[in-house]
Amino acid sequence: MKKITLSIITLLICLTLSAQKETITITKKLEATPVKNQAMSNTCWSFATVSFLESELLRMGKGEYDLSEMIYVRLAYLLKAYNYYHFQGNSNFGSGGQAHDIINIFKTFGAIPEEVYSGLSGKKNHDQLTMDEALENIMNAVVKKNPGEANDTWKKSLDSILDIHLGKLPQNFTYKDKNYTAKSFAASLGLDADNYIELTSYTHQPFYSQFVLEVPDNWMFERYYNLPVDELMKVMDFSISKGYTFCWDGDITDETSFPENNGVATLENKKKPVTQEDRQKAFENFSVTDDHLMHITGSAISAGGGKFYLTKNSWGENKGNKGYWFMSENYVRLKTIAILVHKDAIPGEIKTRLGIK
Amino acid sequence: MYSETCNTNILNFYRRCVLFFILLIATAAFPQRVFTNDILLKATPVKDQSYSSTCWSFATTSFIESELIRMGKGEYDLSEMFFVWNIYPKKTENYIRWHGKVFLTPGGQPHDVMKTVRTCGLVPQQAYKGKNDNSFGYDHSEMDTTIRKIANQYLAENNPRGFAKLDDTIQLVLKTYLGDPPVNFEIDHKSFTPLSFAKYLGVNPDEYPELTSYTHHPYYTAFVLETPYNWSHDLYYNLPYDDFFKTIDFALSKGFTVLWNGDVSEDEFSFDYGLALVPSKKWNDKSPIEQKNTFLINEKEIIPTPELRQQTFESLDSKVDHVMHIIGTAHDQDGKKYYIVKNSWGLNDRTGGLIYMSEAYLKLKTISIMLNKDGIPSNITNKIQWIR
Repeated sequence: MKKITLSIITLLICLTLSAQKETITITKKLEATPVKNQAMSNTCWSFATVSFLESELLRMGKGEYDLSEMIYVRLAYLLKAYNYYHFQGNSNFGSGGQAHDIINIFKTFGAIPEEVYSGLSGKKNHDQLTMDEALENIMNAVVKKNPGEANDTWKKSLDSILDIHLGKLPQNFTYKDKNYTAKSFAASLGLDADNYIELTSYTHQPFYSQFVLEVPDNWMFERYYNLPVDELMKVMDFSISKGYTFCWDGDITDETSFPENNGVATLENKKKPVTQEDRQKAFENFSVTDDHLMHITGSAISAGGGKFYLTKNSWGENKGNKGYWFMSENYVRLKTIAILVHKDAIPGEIKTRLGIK
Repeated sequence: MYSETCNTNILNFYRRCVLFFILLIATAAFPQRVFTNDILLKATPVKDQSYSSTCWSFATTSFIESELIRMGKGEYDLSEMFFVWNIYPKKTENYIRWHGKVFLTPGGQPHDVMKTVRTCGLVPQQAYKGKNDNSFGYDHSEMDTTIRKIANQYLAENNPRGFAKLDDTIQLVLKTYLGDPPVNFEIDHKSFTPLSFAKYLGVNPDEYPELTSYTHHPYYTAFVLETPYNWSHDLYYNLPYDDFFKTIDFALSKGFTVLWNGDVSEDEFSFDYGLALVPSKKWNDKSPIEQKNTFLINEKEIIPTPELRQQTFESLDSKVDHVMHIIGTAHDQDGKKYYIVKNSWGLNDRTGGLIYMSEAYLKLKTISIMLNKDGIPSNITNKIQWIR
């Protein structure tokens, strides 16, 4: 079935579908693996970024892989707990995350195939709400203690809860008759974690510099490059035109502009292009927050000529358009918190301005 | 172990009596350690932060004042509260941007001051005292509480009036307790703004990196030091243990003072005696007389290692709670090495407000340092992956 999916993915397939009001036609669809379902887990960040890495492997001609999302969820939890403990409760400890969580853990730890570590532990679908609460309860109790009183038993407690809900970390494993560790498997994929950077667009920090993006799920305190919104949009378009997909981080909390049923996300009440000021205002009054990550894999156009981004979600194939959403250009201009892209998917002149080699 | 017989008990009793008298005579004859300074770099007089959590500003200001002397610019008394005034609105804004998932604290780190020098400049103490009355010292407890309450209100209401309004509100509070800093002032019959004054003095904030030494991140790279006081998530360069302490000695030997960021929460840190020690025997295992003798008689200290440093960092036994200013080195009558550290808790009788920090204490309890880039040995500088 996967092969069938692959074979139908070609450039400029004119797949048309009826949106609420107008017909949207896909103009470019880059290769991507089948849509997954994060189910009852707050792990969109891992699904979106792993899906992105899988597309990167397809782009590089490495073939189709199904990589484990949950290995990153498990490892990120321990790192998050470490920070929460050392910041003595003054950082974010929760189930959320960012795209760089996967990239950074890929770099230090590696990768594991889904068939080796599904994180389901016998369940049919992901259901982590109990696990999330248990972990939060432990860490909140730990940081309330006087420093020095707490020993490292919290690490063991966390480990055992993660073992129960997601499964033990495999030391080594066999995949397609070969023996691997997470590190050697990642090396066999040939992905270079240093190729991927994050971009954002806000005016409270200088453009063309890097800053620690102030969103709670940036618990790793990663630095994002800051671009004017027009240039950020240019990067997205350039990326797709050059055959690179990218990871999208943004806001989907507004049910009317991001409906689950028809999979078309637009700004109904905003006809004029979203300005830099609109973005800043929405970010600062918290009407746009980073609450979801998805994977942009192509572009589309409406009958009226409106530009759309073809976006792979992780809510299963039954939601949206077979698991995909069309986000209008204006929606993306307003609701994008950040994107993670390959360095080579950035136009040369913007790269120079950012000082990226 | 002794066998518990009557004879040894009596023997022990006599031994103890003799020891006690020797101690008594020794204590009377040598009421404290005798220090000989080996390096003592120029520094301005010791100040008193009193009831304010502003050690970071006092220490960094003292450090800048020493830098100015070293650079031949003369002795200046700079305003600590100018930095407090400028950084508080930024801290509050940051707290709301992070949706409260960051430390809103009157405390801070040396880079807070350097960033303020870059964006807002410097002011002499005579132009901005940072208080509205003639009361002694600084008492910020009410101001800190008020700001926290305002910040939490803004957070609860999703920042309804925006950051510009928040800044105005925080500045009103600061005005009430600290007064407004000057827009212009005169020094040596010349008129300055805070920024033009910083330029005139030639303080370049980009020359002052922060260094640390821990094993949980790769060496010679920068990482966000995990302490709540690093509320701005700034980067610290990670050095191997030997390089880190070599750098401190090298800097001092070349005439550069060093800013110290670390832990003073232990009982063996004594302001009254001006001493910071890490004895092998734990404070709580000592009798009251042994506790007092800690500061009078040399005893065996913990031998620090990179592993032990890491272990105390992981357990939070060593954590950031104070910033001070290292201005030299000394040795005592037994030849033991100390670092001379300028504190900001006013004067004491024995050491004039200075802390003599044993080498073992420095190696175990220092979390990070800030210093002039030129104070780092070039072979170490070359290995560091500097971030532009």
